[in-house]
Amino acid sequence: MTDVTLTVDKNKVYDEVAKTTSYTGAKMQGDDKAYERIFTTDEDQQMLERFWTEASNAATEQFKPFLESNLSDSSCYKVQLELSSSFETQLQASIETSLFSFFVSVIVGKWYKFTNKSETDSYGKEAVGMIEDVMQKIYFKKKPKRVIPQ
Amino acid sequence: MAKKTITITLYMSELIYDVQNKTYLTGRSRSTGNNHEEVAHMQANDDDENANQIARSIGNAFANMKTQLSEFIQSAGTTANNQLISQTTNLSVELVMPSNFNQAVNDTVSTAMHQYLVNCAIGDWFTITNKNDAGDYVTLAAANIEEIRNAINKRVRPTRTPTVTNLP
Repeated sequence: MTDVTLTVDKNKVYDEVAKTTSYTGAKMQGDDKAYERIFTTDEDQQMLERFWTEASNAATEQFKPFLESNLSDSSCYKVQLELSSSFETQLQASIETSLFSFFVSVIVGKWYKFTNKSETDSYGKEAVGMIEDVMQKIYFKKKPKRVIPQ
Repeated sequence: MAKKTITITLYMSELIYDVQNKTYLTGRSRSTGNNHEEVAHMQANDDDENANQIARSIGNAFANMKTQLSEFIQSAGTTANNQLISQTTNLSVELVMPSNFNQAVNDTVSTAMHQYLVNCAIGDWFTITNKNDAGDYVTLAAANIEEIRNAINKRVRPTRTPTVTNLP
């Protein structure tokens, strides 16, 4: 078996959520109050915190068959997974990137339910796509290697 | 006439690799792009639960094959058990054949034995993980046992040795 630890930094996710919402708000045409309404600020933290927890729970649900321990704390999402011995370890960084994007999409999608309903669905679909990408890589198996008999 | 003893060795590493490779290729070719979990389950590897199942199936098939060939196998053993066969110990069978057995088919016998064990193991494995393909391997295994039977029943033609007679 192959032990793999996946980590997603909460502050980095919040920064990305702030960037995405700020950009969406600033670029929205014909709506003067869009920026103010869509951009997440420090005051919205409590709500974002709930979305973060929901995203964490959704990710853990997916990882359940492989979960060895959940080491998450207030600063990050961190799980230790016991993956197949044929797991391609080169994929770990890519899995973490997709998992990071999953957290961002879930939080933005849920935030947009209040502030920008028209884009909620697309972020929801993106989140589903991201977690599928993560699971596809987790389930991927390397080709078997032949051992020549001595 | 003296009997011929034919020793066939089947390397476990070759059997296991063949099972893993065939299930790997099957999984890869059954991939639709969004059935990754299903594909992964088809592909047997060295994880304990996979390896033990494969070893159990190979052990079962080997025992069954020996039953099929029992008239050519001599064993002095008086005990047996159901312990899982080791994944690192090669399988060996000694066939005590009639003196006119055609040794040209030795390779055919070993190849067919290999295929029989592999097809039985994959048939069992796919019964658990990929029912649609399981039947094909069971059918192949049945054909392999026939090949083994055919091969071990090959005999060399008798040759006449001219007798030298002393003319008066």
